[in-house]
Amino acid sequence: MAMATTAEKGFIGPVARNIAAKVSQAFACDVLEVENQSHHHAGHTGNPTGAADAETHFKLKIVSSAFEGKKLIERHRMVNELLKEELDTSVHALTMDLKPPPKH
Amino acid sequence: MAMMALRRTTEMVLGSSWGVRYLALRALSNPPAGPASLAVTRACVVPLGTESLPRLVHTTTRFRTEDISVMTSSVFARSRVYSSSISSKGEGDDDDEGSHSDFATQYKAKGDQLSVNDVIDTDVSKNKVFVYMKGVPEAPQCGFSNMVCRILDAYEVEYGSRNVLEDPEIRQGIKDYTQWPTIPQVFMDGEFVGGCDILMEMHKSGELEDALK
Repeated sequence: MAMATTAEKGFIGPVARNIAAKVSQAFACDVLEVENQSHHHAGHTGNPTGAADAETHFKLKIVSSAFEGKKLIERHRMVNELLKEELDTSVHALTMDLKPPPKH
Repeated sequence: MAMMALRRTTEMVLGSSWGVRYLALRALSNPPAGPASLAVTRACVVPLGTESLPRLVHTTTRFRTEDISVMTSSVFARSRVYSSSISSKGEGDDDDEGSHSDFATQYKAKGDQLSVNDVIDTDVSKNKVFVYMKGVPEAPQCGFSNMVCRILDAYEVEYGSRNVLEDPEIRQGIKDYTQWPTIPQVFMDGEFVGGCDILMEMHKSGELEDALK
């Protein structure tokens, strides 16, 4: 397995760390990026106060062989299922870029 | 013509055409003991920006008072009610036939509430493209809902929509229906397609163009 590239963008708090941990446990990731985009949504539903440490809106980029042969909607469902608890509670929005490793 | 207090109770889809939905409003006559029937003489909806004559006309559809009685568009921002005239009739004038046959398959008499799933089934089967979103296409109240609308607009496709912020039952109901945790949710040809990310990917890959043909 290739070495995973892990990146974090924006404010990274316990929710982001938990998401990253869950994803890396569940999928063998070549790339795993968790970006906190909550500040882009300050004042919107989900992040009404616009607090600097809000953890409501995330972007998740994953490259993993787990997505090989899976349709886009199935890939999203895999992550939705994995992060069900977070999505049901504190996480308001999750943008996902989910791909299998490029074929050479 | 009697004055009537209209109160929206249950959203029920009576029919739809080019993305405009009709809603049923329960009309409460005032005083309640008044007319035995209501006749919706006309309810026309034209899309905003269209100067031509209304293409949708429902004429003299008669319901019993206790039935769902008035049709109008739910998508006020998207369409405007062109003409709507409601009159009440006395008991003797009523042929007591109940709902217009056009609606018989989708709406049953009182006491038989449509479930949230029935509403969703109807939404997605009657519209080639249907979006559950926050806000309305002209004024989305969420960036992701906005993105979905703008993508669809780029293809000049007609689509129906439902504002989940106006209806907590639908908001939860749609998530249960699709087992998908977030809004917006896009349907095509009755099938759940995905949310904003997936629509964007389909747009980029060209898949969306094929799907909308």
